[in-house]
Amino acid sequence: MAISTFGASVTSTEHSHEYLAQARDFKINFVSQNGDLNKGITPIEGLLAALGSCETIVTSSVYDKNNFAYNDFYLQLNLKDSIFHADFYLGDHADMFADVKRSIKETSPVYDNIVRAIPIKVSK
Amino acid sequence: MMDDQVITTKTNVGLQVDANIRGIHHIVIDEPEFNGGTDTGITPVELELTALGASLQEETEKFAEENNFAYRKLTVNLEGDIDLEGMHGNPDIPNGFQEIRIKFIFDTDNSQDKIDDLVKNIIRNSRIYHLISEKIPVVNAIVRKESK
Repeated sequence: MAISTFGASVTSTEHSHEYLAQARDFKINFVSQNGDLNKGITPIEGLLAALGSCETIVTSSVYDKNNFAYNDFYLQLNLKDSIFHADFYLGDHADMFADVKRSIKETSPVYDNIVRAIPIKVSK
Repeated sequence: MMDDQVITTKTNVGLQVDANIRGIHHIVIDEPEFNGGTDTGITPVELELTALGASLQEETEKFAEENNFAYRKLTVNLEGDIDLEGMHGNPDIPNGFQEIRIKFIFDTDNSQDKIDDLVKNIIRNSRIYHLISEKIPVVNAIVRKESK
């Protein structure tokens, strides 16, 4: 067992529809779906970025194993009808996609969190 | 209905990733050194927790406006435990959170009963809460560009 605890906090601000999130020293401005979208990201966008970045890191590990450069891959994510979609643009390395998908299933925590259903405990 | 769209790109710095949101916002995402990164940004699982907390803030504000629930400040603290052996490929251990704990800290004159009622309602309505606590499909697909 090598348990690590990750934490974050989100605080209301003096401006309606704007929230300040912090994890360690890193801060992110969030806005509600009805807020000023120039001032921050929405919660859904935050979750899409979490999933996309996690799958991107896993993809880069597959690239590393094959000594590929990171010069031409990116992911495009959206949520449509309550299904997450991650479109992979792997350029010249599209034939690696089966390895990438397997690695994501085996090692991506955010992917796992979405497909597995995580118990949540609430206290006030 | 198409919701939001995000593009993530690997940078050339360690495990660092750039998340581009609507071409307006960029978030730097990385892993801590103990997990192979260079600690230049928030981790993906921390970002997931902040998205959940922001969703709960959004629903709180909406419920408060509709139900005359006044509060001066709300802090949502979130924690999640991960067994790194699972994240590193042990098939017998889940690689995501084992559980998530949320604590609401209100600065308000409302009674505990009213706070309890509010929390019950916002959890029911928080889209991110449901996306994490229920099984949701993720479709990973390859897109091949046409040869020039």
